[in-house]
Amino acid sequence: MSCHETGPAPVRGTVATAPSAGRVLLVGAPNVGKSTLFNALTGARQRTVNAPGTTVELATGTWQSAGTRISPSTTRSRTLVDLPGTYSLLARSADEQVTADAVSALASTPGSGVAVVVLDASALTRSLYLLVQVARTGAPVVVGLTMLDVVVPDSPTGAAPPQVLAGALADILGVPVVPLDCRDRTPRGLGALGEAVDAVTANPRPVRGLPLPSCCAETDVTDLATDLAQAEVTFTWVERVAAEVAGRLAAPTDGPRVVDAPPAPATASLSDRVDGVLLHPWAGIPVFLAVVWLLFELTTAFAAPLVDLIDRIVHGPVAAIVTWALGRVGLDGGWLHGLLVDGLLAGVGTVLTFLPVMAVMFLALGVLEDSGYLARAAFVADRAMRSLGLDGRALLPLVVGFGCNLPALAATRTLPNARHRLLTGLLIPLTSCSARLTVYVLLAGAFFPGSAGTAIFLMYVTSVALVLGGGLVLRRTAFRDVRPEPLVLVLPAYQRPRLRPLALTVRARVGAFVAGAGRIIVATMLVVWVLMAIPVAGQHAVGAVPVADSAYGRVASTITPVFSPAGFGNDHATAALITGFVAKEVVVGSFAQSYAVAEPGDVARAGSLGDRLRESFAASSGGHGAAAAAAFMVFVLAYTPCVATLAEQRRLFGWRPTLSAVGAQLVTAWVLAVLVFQIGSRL
Amino acid sequence: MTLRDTPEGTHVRLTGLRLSDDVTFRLREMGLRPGAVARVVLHTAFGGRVVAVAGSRYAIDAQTAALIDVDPIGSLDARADAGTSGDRPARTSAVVAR
Repeated sequence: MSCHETGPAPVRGTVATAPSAGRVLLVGAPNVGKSTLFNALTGARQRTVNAPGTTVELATGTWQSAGTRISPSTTRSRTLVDLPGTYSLLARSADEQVTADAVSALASTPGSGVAVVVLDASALTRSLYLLVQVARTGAPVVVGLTMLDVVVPDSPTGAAPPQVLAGALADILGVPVVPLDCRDRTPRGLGALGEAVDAVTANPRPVRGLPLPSCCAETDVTDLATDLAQAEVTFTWVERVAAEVAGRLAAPTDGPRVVDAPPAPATASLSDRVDGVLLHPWAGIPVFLAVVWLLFELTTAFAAPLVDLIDRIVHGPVAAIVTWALGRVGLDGGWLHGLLVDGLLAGVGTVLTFLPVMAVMFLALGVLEDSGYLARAAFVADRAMRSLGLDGRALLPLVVGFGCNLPALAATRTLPNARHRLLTGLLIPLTSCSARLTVYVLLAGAFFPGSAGTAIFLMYVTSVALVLGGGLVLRRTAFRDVRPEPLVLVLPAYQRPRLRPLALTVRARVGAFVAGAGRIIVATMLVVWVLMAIPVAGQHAVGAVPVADSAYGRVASTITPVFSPAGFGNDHATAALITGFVAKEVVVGSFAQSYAVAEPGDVARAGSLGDRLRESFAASSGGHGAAAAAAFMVFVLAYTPCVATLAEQRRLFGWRPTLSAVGAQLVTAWVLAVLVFQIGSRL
Repeated sequence: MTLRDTPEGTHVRLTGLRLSDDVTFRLREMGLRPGAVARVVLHTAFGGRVVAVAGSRYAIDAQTAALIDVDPIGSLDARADAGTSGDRPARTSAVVAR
């Protein structure tokens, strides 16, 4: 069977688009190649969404394929869903439950679609176990066979030609089995997969010889002993099928002897040899640290010029064009100009400046994931994260958080467990991002000129302590269910990442960020502008109000007494903190604006801004300006990083945990700031 | 002996998993079942192990490796069982030599 096509060419000029041919669920173990297949089938017609009622991310898309041999003029359109990878439908995490529920729902509605169970040809027995579980639910099944190019010397089927292996499996199982290779520029098997899905949709057929009738779906069973008993039966069946496949492959006398004459078992695969270096007792940790450092650099130093460029374009030429256009209709200079340029455009600009950072992070994660290194990273870092009950992969986003919290949140998607993602996502804001560094540098330079470096270093030590402390507190309270578990990871074979699938994934994820978090960022920026534009004192026009006379200034004045116990109960500090809620990058500018001095080009040499800071902090702290400044720095470290982080947390985890986290961060920040000031002022 | 005590390159048969029931169950689902033949591919940092079972590679942390009981097996027997993922009796060397 040729599988180097995407279906027979439709008859020119008579192509019709049929209504959706139902849902197709991609089910398979982690790292089996589902996402690569999904990208090959959907191309750009995909998006990422959360599974209903959960924080589990799913990729959904439209799979359009050319007509079949039976009806070549009809283009098929199917809804394709890439479900979270799982080894079993007996779910042990929220992610696995999403997969189990989706398969169960498909089975309970006959005619609603087909499950494409993606089997790893290099690990057939493990894959067959999942196939049995899916088939038992009664869902119509098509088998996709991947990893055919992965040479594993001691695999039972390692040397079998794809078509031969697929044919043997199809004969034994009684359902279509399609060999797939989606990693090449020209994917193979997609057309055959479409035909197989159509055939099974029209004529569902059971997997032959299932060990239990389909009425006894394992997803309905909750008792572990019963599960074990059923699983034993399944294991036996899987072993029998695997042996039968192997026997058939070994049958031709002049063909390769796949089973009975495997390569010497001690033969190391290429992946084994690479692991010999990357997982070496001495080299493994330095390699992991180098990878983390590279990620950190990519999201900071590498992305910075792109961020600056976008910022300059938005606030330069684009703002000038908007101003010019408004001038042409006589609306420049008024409140509408302010709303559009300083509110809307500034918000859109903020979202745009995050795009390079997010794209770089998604790309880097994709490379790590597709190459197979991510599983190794989880293994190497396991020891470090075990005390927090987290997967070793959690270390990666936490380290990236020290560059920017936003891509760090994006990196939580590499964690396979929803609770781990949430716990890590709540700890990330406690990592001191580089935007906060500008505040530290300003205040440390102004208040601790002789030991500014030490003061800044202590902020990072405090940040690490907060992450560890916060993690331990959360584990003993809201995350008591998260506990260290035995780590057993299946290590995928190393593979070369492919650019096209990666680019499609990056585009879909960046699009999800813009659609989800971007809108909240823009809305927040508009609200801030409105508060700053509305006069509540003096005789000012809307949009031309000094900060002190604006609603924003009034809010700041109202809040100021709250910070008196921390020594920085002055309107300047409060206004800067409110602005810092939007973005820490603008705290220094906010100080300069509220003191009506020029923003220093080099924040380490604050000049007159430093003088004004010392005066107001000394006044609000009863002469203990340095202690108040230290308290302010700790507050900046511990409270909400920025509205973008908030928006992304909302997108990933929902409003409830996000707002709870904001509350907890504010309380923590206030308590710590008061402690620092009260102790510091007495020294 | 346990998987943790096994030198690199050694072939073993898994004989028991002294872990909680649900973890044991998941490992069995993943292919680490009593009776499976494994080859210790690598020793890693902090006592971790990478083992090969039926063509798959599993990374196992030190604590867990110390709770997996194994019996060393001869190389010829290992050749016979390179494709065995567990629970089935090993094929004899005579079959391999066929």
